[in-house]
Amino acid sequence: MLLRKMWRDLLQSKVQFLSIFLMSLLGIYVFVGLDSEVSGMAKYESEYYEMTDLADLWIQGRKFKEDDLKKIKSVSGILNAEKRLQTDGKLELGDELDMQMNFIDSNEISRMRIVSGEPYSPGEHGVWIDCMLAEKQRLNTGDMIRLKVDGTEFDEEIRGTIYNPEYVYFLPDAASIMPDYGNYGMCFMDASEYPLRDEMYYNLIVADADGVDNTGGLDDKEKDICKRLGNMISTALDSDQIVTTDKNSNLSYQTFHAEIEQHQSMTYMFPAVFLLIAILGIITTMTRMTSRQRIQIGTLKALGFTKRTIIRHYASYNFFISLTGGIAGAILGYHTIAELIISMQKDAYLVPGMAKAFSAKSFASILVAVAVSTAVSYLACRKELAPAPAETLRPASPKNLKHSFIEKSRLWQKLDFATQWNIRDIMRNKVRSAMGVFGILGCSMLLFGAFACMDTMNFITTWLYGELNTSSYQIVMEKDVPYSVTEEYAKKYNGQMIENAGAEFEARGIRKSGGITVYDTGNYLHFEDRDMKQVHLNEQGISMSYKMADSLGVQEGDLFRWHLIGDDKWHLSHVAGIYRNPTTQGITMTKDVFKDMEQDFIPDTIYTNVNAKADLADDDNITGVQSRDDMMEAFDAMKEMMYMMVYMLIIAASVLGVVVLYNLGVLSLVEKHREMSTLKVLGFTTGKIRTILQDQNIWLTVIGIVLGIPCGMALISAIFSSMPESMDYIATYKPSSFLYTIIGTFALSLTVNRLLSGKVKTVDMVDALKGQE
Amino acid sequence: MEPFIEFRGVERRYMLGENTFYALKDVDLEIYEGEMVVILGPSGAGKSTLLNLLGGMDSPTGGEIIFNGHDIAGFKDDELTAYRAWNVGVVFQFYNLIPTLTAYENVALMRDVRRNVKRGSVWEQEASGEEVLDPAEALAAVGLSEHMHQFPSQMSGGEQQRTSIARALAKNPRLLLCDEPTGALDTGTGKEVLKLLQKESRDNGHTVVMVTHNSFFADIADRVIRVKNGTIQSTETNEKPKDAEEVNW
Repeated sequence: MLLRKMWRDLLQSKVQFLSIFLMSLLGIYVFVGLDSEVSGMAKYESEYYEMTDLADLWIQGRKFKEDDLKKIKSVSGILNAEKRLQTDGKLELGDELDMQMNFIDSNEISRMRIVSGEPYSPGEHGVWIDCMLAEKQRLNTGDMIRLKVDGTEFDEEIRGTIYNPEYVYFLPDAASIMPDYGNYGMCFMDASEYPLRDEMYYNLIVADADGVDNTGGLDDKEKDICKRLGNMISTALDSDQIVTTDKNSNLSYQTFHAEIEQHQSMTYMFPAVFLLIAILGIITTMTRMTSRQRIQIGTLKALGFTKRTIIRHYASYNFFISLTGGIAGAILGYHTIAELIISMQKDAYLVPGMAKAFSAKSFASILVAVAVSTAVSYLACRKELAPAPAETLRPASPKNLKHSFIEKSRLWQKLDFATQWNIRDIMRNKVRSAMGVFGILGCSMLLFGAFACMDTMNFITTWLYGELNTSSYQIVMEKDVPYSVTEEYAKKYNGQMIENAGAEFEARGIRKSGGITVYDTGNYLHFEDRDMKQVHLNEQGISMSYKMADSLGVQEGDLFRWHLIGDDKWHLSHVAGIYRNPTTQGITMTKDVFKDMEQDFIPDTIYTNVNAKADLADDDNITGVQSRDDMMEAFDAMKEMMYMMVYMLIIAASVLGVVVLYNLGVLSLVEKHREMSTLKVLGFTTGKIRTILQDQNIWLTVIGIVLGIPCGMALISAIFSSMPESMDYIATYKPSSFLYTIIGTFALSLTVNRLLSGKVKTVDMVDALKGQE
Repeated sequence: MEPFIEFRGVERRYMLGENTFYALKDVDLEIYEGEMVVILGPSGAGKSTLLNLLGGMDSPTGGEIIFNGHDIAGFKDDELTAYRAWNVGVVFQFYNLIPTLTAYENVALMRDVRRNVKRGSVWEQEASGEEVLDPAEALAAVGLSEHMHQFPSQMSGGEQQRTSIARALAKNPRLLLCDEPTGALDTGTGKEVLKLLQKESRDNGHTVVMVTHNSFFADIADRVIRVKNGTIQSTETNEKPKDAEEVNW
């Protein structure tokens, strides 16, 4: 029978319970959605790396000597090692497509995962190509393709299409920001297939280390092992010129892993907001329900019900509500959010068979939500259960009200009735008011987050292509085009020559890899300082990007060492200045400084405002010409993902705002029913009463917005600061975002208020005169 | 004859700020099985406190309350709950029905009471074999067969009070306590309620204790206990109690 009582009570207070239901649903929806995605990624990451035995160390050098591999293998702690030539080449298919080529003589580390065709074994002829490229370019096993490496063309038969764990995430060149698989690719061949047989060399050795596993990220112990082995390898090869990096410096591994971790941190943030509001909702609903049912509780006790039965009865309200909400949220979240995000992730990360996974954590989240809801209901109704039934059977003695500090101040007397009434109401219903403020806070936080996300994305593109690089076109040179030739093009198109190269940096015992940008005189490449103001960098020295300096722990004037990837020579330099760049972290200098260090300036890009697209279409020295629009398009995929998130945030914010505000409104209307009808009897018009209610709503809304916007800022900077190390995204807020957030939140608040204040009309004066039930 | 219930020097005091207020002081009283007792007194006399103590809804601050040989004065919470569940039926002035349950469901609630109470208490053993009545039968006994599936808000005051009586009787209680059971009813309806209570005592042999400020009800009781200022003023025995039908107020 108590069960029936529960159902009917639930129906009677349906608005309140619906809001608790929705909050638990939304909380679990977002949590399970994100968690299933993250867990899926993490699960397939570990499985994939485990199955293919991803390398633990990458040892890069310009040209390894014959016995270097043997020496590395004999380093204690190295389980296995393989040498490789990794170089950039082309696939000739009408157009030339970028193709990273790996010439190997065994494949026990970072093993290929065959999609079609036959497995590789040492000495086999033919090529194994990236399955995404094969699919997009309609290439099949058995097809002959023409490849080009180091200026030499050669034909190979496709023996298989593959995935490779070192290519979970890869980009065609340093200037690209988002992957666009299928339009460039990678391949593996036996070393014997290298066309310039006599000039064969090895520039990469991959190794497996003892004590470093393939699951999860690198922990501190594993990092230490890698660092120690790196030093031992340098000693063993008696060379300072090689670079040993661990997984964290591997773009593919690092990007994918950072993405998982970033999503992981968001997994808890949003649901926590919803759960908090659900808890506040439960507190207000249950304390009011039990105090309203005080006599009923007394009666049940008098009839002989045990305290435990009554507690169980009241706790079961929210047990059922949060359980059903949680289960519904889990099912929806698993099938919508997880599905959606994982399918977007599949476009960015090449992990075979990657899918969402329902984790124990998701299951636990439902249990936690249910346990918390039930416990909170218990705490809320405990008060009415403690006294003897004889006492509970009497109506509660009126609350002992004290004058708050505001009421004691001199200002109080000057306030009008409505303001006094509202201040008292807020002070005496703190939990309800707090819930209102939290609801609005959450709503404006999410709205602001959504708008700021868009601002930041838009800002990055205009920053990158409007402020830092003001050219309209970039002419990308073929590899190894001599300086004199490039200079001709630069003169012809009035451009600025740039060289981008990979480098490794070291300071205070920390090693990081990144990029070097060397520039010729010209007016297209610009720099901005820490505070995003345009600066002229010290042209006599080497400046470092903000994030790189941050990771190395250096400042202006500090010493650091660096060398180009593939070059043995280490240079010792001072940090002459700090600049910011969203996509490339490293150092920059003029070509003169570069030359002074006995380095050849070989520009690979020319920035210009002249449209040379048609002109240079068939030029052998030119890889291609990209317009600013082309480059901005690379951001589109990223933006699309961002917009999706933005829409989700806006919807979540609206649901949150409407549910919380409507719930509160109904609650306070029910509670103030008698007061309002009394006011009516006293001669207040409906309009006046409505204004009183509206005023309070506006106050709470203002407080919620004032607190919510900083929380939104914190949210956004948390999201962007958890981006990979190579990205320096600055959370940006336009004035319009503040405005939209305020307008949006107010619009929601006032709409809900409009809906509610219609009910004021229905307040009957007779109610004031009736006895209290 | 051994008294069924006995109060020995019972005291109930409350602390009101720094003052002590005695709702009951040094009360001695005896109630015999099957009696119909009316406790009479003006408001604030301590009638309701007396009823609460009888029903195990409150504990005295001094003295002993012997129920069928057990002193319930020192009972802990759960022991008192078991006492109420097995022995006591209560009829309230304002009926105290659960508004979200129908008449039938309100009565059926009593099954849940027995189901949830601690097993193995002395009361259970003493009451062995006494089952909770079928809700429909209990409602039929108070003449409410036709209103069984109505909610309290759809019933008149008299009907609600009769439901409340049916609920109390469904437990087959050894002690039926009534707190101003006709207080919210008109004379005609009130009389019907009194008749039911008297019948319970006379025909079914259950002890009925009724608290009221209405001295006309003294006539229908086997014994009348007058209370004033927290003390027993007098105890009278009616040799020939009137039928409820004959009382007028």
